[in-house]
Amino acid sequence: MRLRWMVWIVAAAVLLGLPRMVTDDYWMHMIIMTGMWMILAVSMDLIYGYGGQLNLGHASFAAIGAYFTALLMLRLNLSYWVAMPLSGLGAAVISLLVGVPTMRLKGLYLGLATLGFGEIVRLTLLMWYPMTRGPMGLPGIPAPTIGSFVIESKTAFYYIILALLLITIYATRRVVNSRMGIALMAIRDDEVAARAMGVHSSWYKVEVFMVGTFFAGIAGSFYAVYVSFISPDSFKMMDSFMIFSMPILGGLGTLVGPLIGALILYVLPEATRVFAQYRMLWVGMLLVVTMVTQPLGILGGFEALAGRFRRSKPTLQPE
Amino acid sequence: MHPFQEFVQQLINGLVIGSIYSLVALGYTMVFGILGFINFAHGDVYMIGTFLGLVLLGTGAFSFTAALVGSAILTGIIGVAIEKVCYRPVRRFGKGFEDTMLVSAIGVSIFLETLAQIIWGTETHAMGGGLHRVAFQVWGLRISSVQITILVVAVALMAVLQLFVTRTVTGAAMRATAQNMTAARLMGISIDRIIAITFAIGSVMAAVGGMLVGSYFDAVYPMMGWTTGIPAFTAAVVGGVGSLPGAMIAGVLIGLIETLGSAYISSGFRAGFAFIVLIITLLFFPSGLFKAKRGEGKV
Amino acid sequence: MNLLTVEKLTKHFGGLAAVQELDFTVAEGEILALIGPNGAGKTTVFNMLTGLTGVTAGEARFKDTRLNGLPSYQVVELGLGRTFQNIRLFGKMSVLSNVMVGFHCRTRTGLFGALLQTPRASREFRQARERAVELLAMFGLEGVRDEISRNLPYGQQRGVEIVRALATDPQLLLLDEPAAGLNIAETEVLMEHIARLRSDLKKTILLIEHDMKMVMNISDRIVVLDYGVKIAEGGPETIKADPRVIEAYLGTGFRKSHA
Repeated sequence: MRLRWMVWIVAAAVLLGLPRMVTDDYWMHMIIMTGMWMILAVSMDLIYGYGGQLNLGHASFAAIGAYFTALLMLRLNLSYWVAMPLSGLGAAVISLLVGVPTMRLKGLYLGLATLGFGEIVRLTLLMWYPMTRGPMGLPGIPAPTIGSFVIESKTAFYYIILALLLITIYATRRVVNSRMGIALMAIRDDEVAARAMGVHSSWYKVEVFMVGTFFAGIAGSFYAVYVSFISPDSFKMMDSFMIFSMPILGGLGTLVGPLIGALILYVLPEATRVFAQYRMLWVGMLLVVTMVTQPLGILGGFEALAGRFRRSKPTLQPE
Repeated sequence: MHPFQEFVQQLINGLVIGSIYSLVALGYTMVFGILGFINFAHGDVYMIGTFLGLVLLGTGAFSFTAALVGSAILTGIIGVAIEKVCYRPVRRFGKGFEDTMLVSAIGVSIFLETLAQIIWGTETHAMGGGLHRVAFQVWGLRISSVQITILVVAVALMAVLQLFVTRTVTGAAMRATAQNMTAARLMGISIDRIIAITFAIGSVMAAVGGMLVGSYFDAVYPMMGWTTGIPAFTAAVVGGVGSLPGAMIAGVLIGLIETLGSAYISSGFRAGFAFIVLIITLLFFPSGLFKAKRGEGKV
Repeated sequence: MNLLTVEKLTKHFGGLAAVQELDFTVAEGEILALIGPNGAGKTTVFNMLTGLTGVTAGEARFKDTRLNGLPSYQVVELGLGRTFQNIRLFGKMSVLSNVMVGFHCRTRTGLFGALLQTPRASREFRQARERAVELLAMFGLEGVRDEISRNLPYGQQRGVEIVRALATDPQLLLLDEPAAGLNIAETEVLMEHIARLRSDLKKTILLIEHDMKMVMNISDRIVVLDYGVKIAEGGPETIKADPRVIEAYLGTGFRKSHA
């Protein structure tokens, strides 16, 4: 067990000291964006890997969060620290529009409905000119401030996204290792049997959607102030597909899998920058090759992880 | 133009684009019926087929018809190759890997789109050397020869497919596989071969559709797979997964809704109409608008 | 007292009458077996009782509460637990987690309890886990509690399903062909366990079974269905001798028949 402690301490030191080690602004940007994608991937895994609900429109909830934040800050002059949680809540509440009507849908049909919803969100943002300025987007989103200190440096944004990511992971872990998590996984594995064991499945499906989209909204909210400009194109359908692919690539239903998936799908194409145009080519091939050789994802998913770490406590077992 | 004439004009336009959606939808619905997943890469195969036709036309050695046939053949081969490399290995893992296949399809889609962008750039190309355009005036309506060609070709292809599926042994094998893959295998049907044929047919029809559309709008561009793909897979779902007649009718339906909606409600929202139909269908008609009749034309 | 009362219970699937005007009761503390040839409608009865299928006509009552139309999770809260003919465990979850699903309707922690890790939430979770281990131990399954349930041998999966149903703290336990797929030794063990469910845990049991040896051995009373109609009811000796029953089964007798 001492080894485990050491690993944690080293990891913590690396994470906290990262801005000192990375001097290149470009790489800091990469790392910050990876953090954002990781939040999206983890929340996706909660909804799909644990909850079994196929959501192909997750990026649109990030868009909703981004627009909420932008509008709250630009029009109402709210502080970022108020706008952010409100944006998460906004995304979660809007997710009811999807979650409630689709309660009876399963599998690919649910996926298609969420896909449709995601596109309708994008088109709404595009066409609701008075509110969103349509395709021109919302520029000039103010930077977050703490008192008189304005957050502008990459280092500062890094710590923010790190904190948000840790909160997301922590919250997800808490949910998974709780009565709610057990109910979700039961619904995922066999909804009828879950109901026969007393689980009110419809409610949980809506609830897991809300929790997952809350964090997507938070991620979008961060994006809005980090990049200080958003448009309906900031989060597209292909982004939803990428987010969907991340936990599957890394290993569904593991807490680490989505992180790995995000790392690979986002950092890898950027890291191979030499072939600037070709990087999405590699992403496409990578996805196919991984699925064809390791269908359960790089970590081998659920069971393999539980098996591999049986000696130490498996992440997914109730503690 | 008299408002009613305008309306009929839009009906015709909707019918034409709808028949293309039907052609492409057939590819989605056949694969969904047999393999149980939406092949998101199908739209990109449609796009690649069109670009291949463009290339053939560009050599100057092919007439439009020859280029169309050539592209159809090449695209059929590509479709089969993609299935063999990207989907069949996943199928070998057994049941329960639909999301894996979905991700693989996403990978293929990304790959094809990027390839097209690298080779041909992101801008829109003119079809050039396309179909000879003649415009007819009938009752004050403008109908072009291209539109008539599209309708004729689409209907002909769909009729041929319907006959093939209902009247041939291979067609029966396809239907059997869609209904119960295990039983079909036990009857000695080579599932791999049937699936390869399914992909071949779907890809061929997609390429034909793409060539016709490319000519109709005189535009070929890397994202055209999604512009048509979305209404097309919506049509597949609306028509009832696995139902060929369903996909055919639904394709036209969506073409009409899209065109009329675009003309009378909002042209900016054009892409959204298909999604609204999709969501309404999923919520209220879960097995599609047209229940696939057992054995009758259902793949 | 009658825990379960079924009156003129009827189920039509389209034109097919799967269950017709079924009447029977289950008294507290008894073991009642529902038997009949395949397709006689037995599982359909279970499905109607537990909210998996709607009721076409007639009524089912648990104590004084009408079961018709109640969703499954409410039926469980009332005190009916069940197992399935084709084992329906939560395949990707561990054995322990499977059993803990059973505790769901008897516990209350929600999202915020989970997020904030309130003392109440932690305590509830810990108690549920401890109780789950106890229940598993009663059936000799505590050793496999961390195994992924779909990797278990068939006989153990059956056991887990029963323990999971027990975790819902039912008064009436509906067992659907618990002996299906078990060999002779496993069936003997199962019979002991079912007997103990009644004697030690005070459960009332309604049982669907094809294994006649087991049925004759452990049932207090038997109801026989054929084509959805009750053709006989009574104690094991009466049923054994009933000509209509023998005719319906055409000589199945004491041989174990599989589903």
